[in-house]
Amino acid sequence: MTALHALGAAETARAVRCGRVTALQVTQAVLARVEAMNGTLGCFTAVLADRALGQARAVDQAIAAGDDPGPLAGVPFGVKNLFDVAGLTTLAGSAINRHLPAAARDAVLIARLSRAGAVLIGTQAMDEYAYGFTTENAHYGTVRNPHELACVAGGSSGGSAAAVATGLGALALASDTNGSIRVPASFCGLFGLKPTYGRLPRSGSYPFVFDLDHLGTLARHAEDLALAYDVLQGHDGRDAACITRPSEPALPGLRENWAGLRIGVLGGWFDTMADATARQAVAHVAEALGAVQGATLSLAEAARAAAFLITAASGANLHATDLRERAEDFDPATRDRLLAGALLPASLVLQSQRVRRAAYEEARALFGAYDLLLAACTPCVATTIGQATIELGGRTMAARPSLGVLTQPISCIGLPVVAVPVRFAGRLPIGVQLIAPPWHEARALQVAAWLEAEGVVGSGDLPI
Amino acid sequence: MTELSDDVVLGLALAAGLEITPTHLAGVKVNLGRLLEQGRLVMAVPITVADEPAPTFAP
Repeated sequence: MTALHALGAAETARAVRCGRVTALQVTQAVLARVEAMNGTLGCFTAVLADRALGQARAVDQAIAAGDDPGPLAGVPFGVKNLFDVAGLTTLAGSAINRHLPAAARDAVLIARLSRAGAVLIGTQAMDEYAYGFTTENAHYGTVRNPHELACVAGGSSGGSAAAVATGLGALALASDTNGSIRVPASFCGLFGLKPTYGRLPRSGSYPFVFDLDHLGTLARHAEDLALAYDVLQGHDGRDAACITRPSEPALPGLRENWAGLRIGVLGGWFDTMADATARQAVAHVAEALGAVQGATLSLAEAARAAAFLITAASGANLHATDLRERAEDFDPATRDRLLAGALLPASLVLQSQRVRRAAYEEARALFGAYDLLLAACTPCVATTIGQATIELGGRTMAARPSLGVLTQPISCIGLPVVAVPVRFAGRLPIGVQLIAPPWHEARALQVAAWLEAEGVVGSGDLPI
Repeated sequence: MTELSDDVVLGLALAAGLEITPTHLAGVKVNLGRLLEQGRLVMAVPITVADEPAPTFAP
């Protein structure tokens, strides 16, 4: 029998709902696994054992009473520590936030998962204020990649990704402003969902860049993403960007035939900035899907630049008071980037917003010819801890700001993406982005589920 | 990479109401150079009045 900590979310919920295992047994198994592994990996910043055991008992009591425990009954999950958790201070990876009062209530997405029967295990490490792609945090340490401990887990949701990859929870809630779900999903060999901008409410999460922040999930199976996504959808008026359109569940059509979809491989920037392994991963998925080459977003590089500039300026604005009054308390890598962002001429930021609109219009036109687009998630596999540079497109580039070169053009224009993990023997995992038109998350999840069922992609066995 | 003098960076900081200490200056210069490089890319895109800025983006 599969170890309880190694069960996926859907598998866990099925086992708990039919009484094959109790939520308490699953929770105890995962907490024991966290206790054993967290010292090595550095995934969790707080473990909520009492709360988790209490939630698990409540699920078991509901089942014993003949009540519906919810579609995620007993599923253990963690959250990036920018989500409010009642009774905890929301750190967002910073030391500065340590002195803020504890959150009075859970973030809306945590509340939705909990109502569906999921069990919160703890909060997880991240880059300071989500500004990074490696989770090398000067305050809380570096999260290690479970596939190769000398490598980074990716960021900024690195704690969440390393945890899910290791069986320290079947799911994680995370955020993606420039690639912070897709980059760690790629490095840790996971499925990741970054929905359309505005789809999921961000109420009760610590912001980074208002008009680029997306919340989403990480899991070891595509079905788990769909299951959680259906629970997470729904308007919340406390997030001004959250849409009012009705939920569009992904699970009912997850196993339907996708034949007939026109799938294209993004070339140009997405090819130039990918190394041989990343290109091989895309080719592997493209071949399985019968995708055609030659889809082009000519503004991809400019869109990436726009995201880079908007992020720096908005992040600097958000933290302006602390930059003025206590710059020494930031992680030095974050501080210097934010200070630089505060010095940007306004015309560059406004032009970035116009470029963003133009890039979106170009993508919209491209979706007249394609139903789904493919690109690598990251330009390469996980980099080593402390690695300063990477070679991309014939250029030597600083590693930490450049690992999102392939994700930033897509989140900049708000498109939904499912990251799928590709494994080549003897090599570290790498992810491929399945990019859909706005509001078509279900389509990307459907194709991801098929790729996993066919063995084209998958998380594989737990690495450690 | 754009080479910026200390005086330029400190002048921009003054305009932004920020003080940059000597220990932070080198890191800020490197990062601002990177941003300005990206700035050249966005400024090179021909934009028309139809390209309405997207400060709160809603696809």
